[in-house]
Amino acid sequence: MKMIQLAARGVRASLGRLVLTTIAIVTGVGFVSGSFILADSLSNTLDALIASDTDTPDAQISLAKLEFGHDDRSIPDTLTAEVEALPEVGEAEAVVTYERLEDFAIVDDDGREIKPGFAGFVVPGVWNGEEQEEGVSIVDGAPPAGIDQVAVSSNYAEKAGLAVGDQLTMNTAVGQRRFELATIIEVADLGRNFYLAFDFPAAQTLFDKEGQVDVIQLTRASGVSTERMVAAVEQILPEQAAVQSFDDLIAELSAGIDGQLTIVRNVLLGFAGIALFVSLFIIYNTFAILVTQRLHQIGMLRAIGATKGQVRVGVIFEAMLVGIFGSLVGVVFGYGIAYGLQFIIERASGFDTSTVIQPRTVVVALIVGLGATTVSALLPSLLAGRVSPVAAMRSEAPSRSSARRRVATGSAVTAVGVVLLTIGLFVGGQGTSALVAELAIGSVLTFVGVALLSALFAGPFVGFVGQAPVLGAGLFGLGLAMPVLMFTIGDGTGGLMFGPKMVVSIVAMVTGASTFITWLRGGRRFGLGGSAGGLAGRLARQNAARSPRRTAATATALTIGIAVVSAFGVVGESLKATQGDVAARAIRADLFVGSDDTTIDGELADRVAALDGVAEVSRIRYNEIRVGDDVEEVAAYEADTGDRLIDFAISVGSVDGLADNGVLVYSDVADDRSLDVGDTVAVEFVDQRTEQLVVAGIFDDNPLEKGWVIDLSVYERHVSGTDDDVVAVSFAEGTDSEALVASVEAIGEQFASPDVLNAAEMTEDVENEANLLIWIVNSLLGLTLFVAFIGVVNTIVLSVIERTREVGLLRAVGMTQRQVKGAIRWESVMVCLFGATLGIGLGVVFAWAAVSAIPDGDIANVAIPYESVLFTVLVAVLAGVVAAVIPARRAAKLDVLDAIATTG
Amino acid sequence: MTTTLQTTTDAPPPPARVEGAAHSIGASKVYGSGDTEVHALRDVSVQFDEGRFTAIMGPSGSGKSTLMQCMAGLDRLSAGETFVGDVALSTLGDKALTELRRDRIGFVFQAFNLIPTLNAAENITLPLDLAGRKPDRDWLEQVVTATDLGDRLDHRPNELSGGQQQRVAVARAMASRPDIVFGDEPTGNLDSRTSAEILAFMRAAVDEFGQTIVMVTHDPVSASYSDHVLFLNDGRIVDEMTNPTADAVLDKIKSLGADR
Repeated sequence: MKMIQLAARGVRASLGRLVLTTIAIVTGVGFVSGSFILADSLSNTLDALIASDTDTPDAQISLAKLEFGHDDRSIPDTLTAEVEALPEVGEAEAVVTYERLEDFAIVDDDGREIKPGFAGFVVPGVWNGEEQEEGVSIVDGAPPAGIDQVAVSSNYAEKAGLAVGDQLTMNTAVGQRRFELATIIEVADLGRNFYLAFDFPAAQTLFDKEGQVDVIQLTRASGVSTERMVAAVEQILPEQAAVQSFDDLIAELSAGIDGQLTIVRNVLLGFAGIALFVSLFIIYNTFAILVTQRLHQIGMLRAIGATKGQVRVGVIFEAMLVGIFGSLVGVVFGYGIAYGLQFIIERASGFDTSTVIQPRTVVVALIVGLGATTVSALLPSLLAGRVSPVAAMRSEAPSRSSARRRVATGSAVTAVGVVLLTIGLFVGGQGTSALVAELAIGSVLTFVGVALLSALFAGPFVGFVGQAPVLGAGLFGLGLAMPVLMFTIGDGTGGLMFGPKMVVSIVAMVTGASTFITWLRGGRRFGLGGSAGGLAGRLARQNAARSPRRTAATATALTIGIAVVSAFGVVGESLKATQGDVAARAIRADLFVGSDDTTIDGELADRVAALDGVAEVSRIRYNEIRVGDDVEEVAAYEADTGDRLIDFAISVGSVDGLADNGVLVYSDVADDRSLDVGDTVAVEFVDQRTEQLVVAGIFDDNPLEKGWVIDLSVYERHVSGTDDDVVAVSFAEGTDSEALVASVEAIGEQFASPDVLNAAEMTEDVENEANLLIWIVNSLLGLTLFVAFIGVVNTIVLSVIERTREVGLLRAVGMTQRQVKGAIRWESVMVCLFGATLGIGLGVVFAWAAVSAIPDGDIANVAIPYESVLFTVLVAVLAGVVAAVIPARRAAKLDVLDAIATTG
Repeated sequence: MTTTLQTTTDAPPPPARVEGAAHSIGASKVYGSGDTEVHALRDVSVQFDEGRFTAIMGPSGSGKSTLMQCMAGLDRLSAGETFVGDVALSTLGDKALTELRRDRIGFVFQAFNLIPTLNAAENITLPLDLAGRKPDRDWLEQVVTATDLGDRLDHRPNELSGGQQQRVAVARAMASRPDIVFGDEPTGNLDSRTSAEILAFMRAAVDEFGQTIVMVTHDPVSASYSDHVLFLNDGRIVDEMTNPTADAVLDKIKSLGADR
C-alpha cells in the first residue's frame, strides 16, 4: 500500500517531467480510440440513415449477383408493369439512379463546369413529385416534363445565376445537352451538394439507361406476407434479375458497410500501433531517467527496509498511474479527432451524424495505454530494484546489464525478427492474418533488436559526426546537395515540397558553413557563440555519447517513424521506376482512351477509327474468368491489332493463334499452372459456360497485362454488352497528332468524357497513384513522427533537469547563456541525426526485402528517392534544433547559485 | 552496563560474543582490485553495547562510514563478519537483510533523509508501513512527543527547518523500536545551534528510552554528546575514549594527525 501511495505522490511531484510522456501516450491512445470511435460512429450514422427512411417498400428487384466478373445486363422497364400485375404485389415503383456524380454539371458560357466546392457533388435524380419525396418542395416553376426540362436545387440555381425559364447547357452521361430550367426546388439535408431532377423517361435517357431500370421497389398487396410476394415475383423474373425482401437487403447493406469500415478502422489502427510502439521508447526513457534521478531516494527506501519488489512495484505503479491518466485523456482526444472529422463529413454530406463511444473503445484504450506504460516501465523498474541501499549516501548509478549481454540479446532479437519478416515476405500460401502477424511481430522485434544494438554505435557515431569539421562540412554538403539533386536528377519542382525543401537546404548550408568557419577560426578551444565548433559543441557531443543507451532509445523512436516513411518512399519510387521503364519499352499505341470508373460506349471506338489519320484502333475489355477453382483477371483484345498497339513481350509462342480460340498467359501464371504453348485450358466465363482454350503464347512483363489475354470474339460469345474498358489508338505516320488528340477528346465528350492519355501520360498516371499512396501513408505516419519528436524534446528536457548542477557549474565558471543553449541544441541535433540515419538505413533494407518479395512484373528493381531521403535527413536536423528550443531556454535561465546548491 | 571494546589490529580475534546490540569480527572491506585496490577496513572487531551512544570518528577516508554501512547491513564485507544481535549478516540474502534493516535497525543520514512527497508523520511511520506493520501506538506517541514538532506533523519536509527535518528523521529511525540506530553525520548539514538541538534529542533517546545509537561524525562537539568514542584511521581502530569532552576529543584528533 505504502509504495502505491508513494508512487502516486511521486507522479504528483514529477508532474512537469511527465507532461511530455503523457502527451506521447495521449497521442497514441487518441489515435487508437479515434479509429474506433470514427468507425463506430460512421457505421451508426449509415445504419440510422438506412433505417430512417420510413416510406420503405417491402421488397426490391435488382440485378442478380454474379459469382464473379461482370456483365452488361439490365432490367427492362417493362418488368415493372408485369410485376405490378401480380395479385400479391400492391405497388411496383421503378427507380433509376446515376452513380458517377462527376458527369453531371451545368456549363457556363465559357464552357466551364459549375460545381460545388470541396467535398460536394452534383447529384442527379428523378422528379417524383412534391408529395412523393420527403423534404423536397417547389420554390418556383412547374414540375419538369420532357427531355429538355430540368429541376435544379435553389443553391445550384443561385450559384449558376439562373432563374426559372432560363436556357442552360449541361453535361450529362450522354454528352452535352440544352435544357430549360423548369423548376427551382428546395431540398432538405443537401449539405454542400447540388441537386438536379428530370422526369422519369428523361432520366432514363440522360443516365444512358434507355428502356432500363436499376431497381423496382415492391409493396405487398394487403393480406399478403412479404415472403409470399417474394415467392410469387420470383416465378416471373427474368434470369438476370433477383428479388429480395427489404429487411434482408438492409442487413446485407449494413454488413457490407461494417465490413468496409472495419477494414478502414484496422488500417488506421495499424498506424496507431506504430505511433504507440514509438511511444513505448519514450515512456521507457522517462522512467529510466526518473529512476536515476531518484537514486538517493530509492537508496534511502532500501536502507530503511523497502524490499526490491516494493521498489519495483513503486516504479511500475507510477507508470500505471500515468498510463491510466494518459489513456483517459487519449480517449477524449480520440473523441475530439473523430468528432472533428465527423463535423466535416456532416457539413459536406448533409447527413445527421452522432459520435459514438462504445464501452469497448474505452476498455481497449485503457488496456492499450496501460499495457504500453507498464511494459515500458518494466526495465526501469528492474533498474530501480538494483539500486543499492548505500546509494542513499553515495552518488553511484546502479549497475546495468553488461554490453556483451546486450549484444547477445540484441542480435538474437534482431535475428528472430528478420526470420519472421523473411517468412512473411517470401513463404507463399499463408493466410492474411498469419502474414500480417509475421510482418508486424517481425518488424517490432527487428526494431527492438536494432534499438538494443544501436546503443553500441551511438557513441562512435556521435563521436565522429559530432566533430565540428565533420558536422559543419557535412551539413553544408547535404544542404548543397538538395538543390543540385532537385535540378539534375529531379525535375526541379521538388513535387509539392519545393518551398520546404529549399528552406531546409538553406538552413543546413548556413548552419554548416558557420560551424565550419568557427572551427577554422580555432573555436574548438574557446567556444564562440552557440556553434557546434565551440566548447558548446564538444560538450554536446560528450553528453550525447555519455549515455549511449538513452541516445539510442530516443533516436529509436525517430528511427521507427523514419524507417517506415523511407521504406514506403523507396517501394513507391521503385514502382514508379519499373512502370515507367516497362511503359517506355512496350507501348506502341499513340493514345489510350479509358476511365477509372466507367466503361466507354462501343460507338466511341468506331468513331475514332473513322477519323482521318488514325491507323489502328483496338478495343480492350476486362473481366474475370474462373480457371480451376481460382477467379482470375482476363483481358480481351482484338487479335489482329492488339499486339501492334502494345508489346506483349511474348517469350514463347506468338499472338498468331489468339484469334483461333487461343489464350495468352503471363509467364508467372503459366509457371504456377505448368502451362506450355499448345496446352488446352478449361476457362469458365461469367455466363457460367466453360470453353477449352489453347495456349498460343506466354508473355513477360508489359505495361498493361499480368494475367490472361483472349480474343474479343471469344469474349463476346460469353459477355453481353458493347462497352469497352480501354480503347488503344495508333496514328498513321505523318499525321498532326495534336489535332488528332483534340478530335479524339471531342468524341470522348459525347461519351462520359473518358481520359485520353498518351504513353507518357499513362506512366504519369501510375506515378500519380503511387505518389498519392505515399502521401496518404506519410500523413498517417505524421502522428508517429510527432510522437518521436515529442520523445526527443522529452529526453533533452529530462537530461537538462538531471544535469542542473552541471549546467550551474559551467555557468558559474563563465559559460554564457548562448553557449549553454548551443550545447543543448547540438546534442539534440546529433540525436535526431543518429535516429534519421538509422531509420533511412533500415527503411531501405525493409524496402529492398519487400521489392524482392513483390513479383518482378510489378516492381523489378530498387530505386531510391534521393531527394526525399535527403529531405528527411535535413528535416531531422531541423527538428533537432526545434526540439531543443524549450529545454535550451530552460537551461540557460537556470539560476546559477540554485543550480549548484541542488543536491539531487 | 559496561562498554566493552576490542581493538584488535594485530592480535587474533577474540571469541564471538553474543551480548551487545551489534558486533563485528575481523571486518575487512576492499574496493577495486590490483593497482586501484583500496583497503577501507582492515580486520576490525568491535562491539556496540545496548543502551549506549557511541561515536565513530576519524579523518576522511579512515573507513568510518564504511564500518557503519557494513555494520548496518547496507554494504557487504570482503572478509570477516558482522552481527546484529546474534544474526550473522553475511548469511542473509537480500530479502532477509532488507527485512532485518526494516525491523531491527534505524538510520539517520546526513541529507536526502526524508521523502519529499510525504508529510512528517507519514515519513516517521514509513518503515512500519513498508513492513505492513501496525505501529506501537504508545511508543510512537512518546517518540513523536519527543520530536516536539507539535502542529507541524502534517507538513511536508520542504516546509520544515533543517533541524525539524532531522528530528523527523531520528524519530523515523526509532519508530519501529529498532535494536540499534545508525547515524551517518546526522548533523553534518546543520548549523551549530540546530546541531545541538538534534544531539540533545539523540542523547535523550538514549537516556530516556534506552535506545542504542551509533553515530559517524567528524565534529568533536558532536562526539562529546556520546558515551564512548572510537577513533578510526586507515581502516583500523586506533583509539577510544569514554565519557568524552569536546576538548579531549579535539586533542586526541590532533595527536592522531601528528602520528601520521
